[in-house]
Amino acid sequence: MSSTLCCSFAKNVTLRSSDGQTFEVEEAAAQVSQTIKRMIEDGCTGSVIPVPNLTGPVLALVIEYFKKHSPPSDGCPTALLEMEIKDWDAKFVAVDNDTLLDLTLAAHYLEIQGLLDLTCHRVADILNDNSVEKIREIFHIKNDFTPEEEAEERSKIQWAFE
Amino acid sequence: MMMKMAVLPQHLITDILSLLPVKSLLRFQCVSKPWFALIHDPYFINVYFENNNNNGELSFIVETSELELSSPLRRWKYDYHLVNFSNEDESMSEPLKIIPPFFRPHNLVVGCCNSLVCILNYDDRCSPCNDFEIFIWNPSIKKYKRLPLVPIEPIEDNLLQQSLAFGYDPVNNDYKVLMIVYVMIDYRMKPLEIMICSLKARSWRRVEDQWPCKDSTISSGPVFSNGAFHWLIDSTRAGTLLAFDLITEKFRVQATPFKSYSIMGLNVLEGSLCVSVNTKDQDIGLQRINVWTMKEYGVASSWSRLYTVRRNFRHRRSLAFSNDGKKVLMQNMSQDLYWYDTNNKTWSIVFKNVRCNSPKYWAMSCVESLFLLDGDSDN
Repeated sequence: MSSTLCCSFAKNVTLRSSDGQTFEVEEAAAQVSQTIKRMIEDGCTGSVIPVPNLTGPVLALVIEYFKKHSPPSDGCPTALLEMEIKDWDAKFVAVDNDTLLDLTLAAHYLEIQGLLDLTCHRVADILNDNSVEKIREIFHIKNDFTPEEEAEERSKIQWAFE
Repeated sequence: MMMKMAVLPQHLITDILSLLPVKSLLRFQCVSKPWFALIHDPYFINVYFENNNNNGELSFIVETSELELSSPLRRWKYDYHLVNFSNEDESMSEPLKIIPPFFRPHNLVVGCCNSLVCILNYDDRCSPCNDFEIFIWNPSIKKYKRLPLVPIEPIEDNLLQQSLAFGYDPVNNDYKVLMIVYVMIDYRMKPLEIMICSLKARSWRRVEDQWPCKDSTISSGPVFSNGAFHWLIDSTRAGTLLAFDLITEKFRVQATPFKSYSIMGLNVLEGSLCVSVNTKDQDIGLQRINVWTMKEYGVASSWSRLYTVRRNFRHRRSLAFSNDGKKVLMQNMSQDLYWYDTNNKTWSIVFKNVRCNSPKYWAMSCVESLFLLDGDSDN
């Protein structure tokens, strides 16, 4: 990175969501996203970086994640800090289902592997705790089985429903 | 309302579903037709197995044996249990008894490979040689495939024995069962028939290659590793490794640097062949067991010593390392499971076998999978 040690304030970048909201964030924090890191390396820092796949509220959440996960200034994270971040992560994804799916997509578009792992595990936990009917409802999935087809499939694996 | 789940790219849905336990996935087949198709997709089934296999959690099938007092023959009855070890603190889950769903009352596990279990299902009136069937079974989804009956004459002669082995042919993506019917003459094993049956072909055929060890006895094995079955052979003073390659269906023989009488057992640890060698400490006259591994498969010079176990531990087999690499999961002569700390030479028991006959089967790694869900199973 080009910033020098004597700089007393960190370099910032501006991100713009699909609905035109802008957010200022430290360059080092934004580089938690591989997509943004590439854009900065390609020289996009001078202007505003567009993030067309994310709405303002989602981008605001992602920036919170950036701030928590930006590399610490002294270089090496302590075990205590890691535990604190783990707790913070768990609370961060304890959101409503639609927001969770938005965050999953955001992590995918912006290539934030840590956030993607976190959200995928959270979605998996939600799936695991719910019935087939409830999953269709939560994730807005249309049941395209006929009642007969569904009954037949269920009867083959009755033990899995017990 | 937008169909949110539908906007997740297919590969993300795959990633999420591959984090779920098998039982949940079986239920979620009924969510919708696209989910049904995804869960039945051979690609997904493979990804799911690889994830489970590499997540650091250890899963094993262990055997317990009990003398059936009600039976006039006082036969040994074998039961099988699934146990899991947490990848965080090495603690063991409550053993879950698995009950093979087959017609005959008795079962022997032949082997376990990529989460599939090969079972010899037999009648209790006579020896397993006479009336049996072989099944390839996935206990996590309760599906199985039946292998055809072995096309050899029923064996009445009590001197005749059979040895079975189960493994995976990675080139043809097929599972294979090898059956050696043999007779013991002067403590030497003399094979009469060597047959093989693959899960795809589901028919038995004679193995064309000849048994290469005319004057030898099998002292350990079979053990499946690197696409081949392995046995330890006592032919001369040097312990010899006999291998049957599942791809070429040929035997090969390789010398080991160990004296045949000193080798206590053969097994697989972290994918590599491994032997326990009995050694006497010259200075203090104590017996110890050194565990050696063949680091590079097929390279005789690559045998290297992993660790030493005290003789009084009655070590029989090493099964797996803990995630931090400091402990080894071991089985002793009584089939009990232990964590053994290789530095401090201390051990703690995790699974105690109540009664023990000479074991038919040693604990083998068996993770959950969806194998056999995509094809035509027999149930």
